[in-house]
Amino acid sequence: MNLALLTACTALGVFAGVTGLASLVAWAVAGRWAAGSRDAARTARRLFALRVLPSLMGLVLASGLALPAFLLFEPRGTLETPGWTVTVLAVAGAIGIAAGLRRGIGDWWATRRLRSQWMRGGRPLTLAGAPAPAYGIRHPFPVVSVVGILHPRLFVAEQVLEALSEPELAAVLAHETGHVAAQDNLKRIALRLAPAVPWLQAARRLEERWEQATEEAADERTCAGLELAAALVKTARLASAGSRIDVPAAALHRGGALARRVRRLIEAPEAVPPSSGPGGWMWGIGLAAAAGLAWSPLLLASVHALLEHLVHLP
Amino acid sequence: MAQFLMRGFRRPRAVMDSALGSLERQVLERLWALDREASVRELLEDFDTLAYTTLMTTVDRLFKKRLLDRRREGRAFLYKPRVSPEQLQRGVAADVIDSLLGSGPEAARPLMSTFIDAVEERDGALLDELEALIRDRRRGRGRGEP
Repeated sequence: MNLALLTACTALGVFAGVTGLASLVAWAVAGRWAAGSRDAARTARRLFALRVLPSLMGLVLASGLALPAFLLFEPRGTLETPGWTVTVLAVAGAIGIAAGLRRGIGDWWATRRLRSQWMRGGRPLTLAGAPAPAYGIRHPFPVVSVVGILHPRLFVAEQVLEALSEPELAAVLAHETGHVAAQDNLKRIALRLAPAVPWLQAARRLEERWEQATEEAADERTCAGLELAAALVKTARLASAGSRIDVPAAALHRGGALARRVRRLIEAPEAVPPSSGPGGWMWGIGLAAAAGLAWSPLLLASVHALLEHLVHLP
Repeated sequence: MAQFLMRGFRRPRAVMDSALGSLERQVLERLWALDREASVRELLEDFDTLAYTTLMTTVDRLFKKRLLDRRREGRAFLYKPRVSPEQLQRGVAADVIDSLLGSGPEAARPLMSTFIDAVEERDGALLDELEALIRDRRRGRGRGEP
């Protein structure tokens, strides 16, 4: 096997191994750590990190350590052949990355299609407090939705506009503003890109819990709980029982949370705006420190020695 | 020039061709070329080896596939294409891409936040109860209760 192929195989193997192990740890602590906070925004941030960080760790270690270590220290004319362990891990890594990319590209495509379709059939609205250009649409389901990342658009079904009072509509718009401020759609694509290695169902469960937490966090951001609770009930009444929005987003079921959300809002109607996450400077320092460590020749030589053991595993 | 190939390495045009019968395709192309409404009898001039009823059935099939519009004039119908060749190809390409992107939980889904995305059967029974709770809370707030 030539150097390029061996390096790619090893890097993919490291990616799958690290992502898989870190995911197992993340899922093991997910229940306690994420449920430990009563702040929905914090819970959402924790669940997001638990789902995405394992893949990010895998990516950073594979591309920032394994790849340079192999390229610097492996003899050019190597004829080494990796063992089964690394080969299987590399195949799993490649499948995970390909599946993630397929989901990401597919979601981007589906978003573009839905946004253009609803914009074509909709009428522009002027709504004070709307987080994005708004459109009124005719839809059998009482849609209130922000679609897209870079050029988001807010779509509101006509029957919702008619049914809600002014304060209720303002609360709904504040809720949607919460989603935009938290960049939830951007996080959605990150979740979809992150390979679900080694267990798809566990990853999906984590994503469902994140979806629920983001809704509750956006509810808390409104600071007008009773109006929002009333808007939730009125909007739900506009849909027939057992129905759901007929776009593929609903494949990820979030429906059962309706009563829970309303009760939360009634119990704490004037909720304090949620806490913000750690500042960007903290992440910057962490990344700079990691990059500095990664590029020390001594560390890279040790990583290469470790990888040699990995490659020769049966 | 790079060519756009998909589904068994066929071009969107080839996929579209296989979705329509050969005669259907020819009739549609003739109507696109005419760029105006035409009756079956007028079309028959270009398909002189065909029986009138065969052409009639083909045109009717295209109408039922919603590829043609028609309006009655006297005893005959006048037909015209509902879509341009580019629109049809784009539609076929979009459908093929959709099918390539799969279905089920792993299917492509739009990146969107939804205020409510589903109302369960049992939610219907809860709505009255929730509404009453909101009313009580509002009444309490009106009386200055916390």
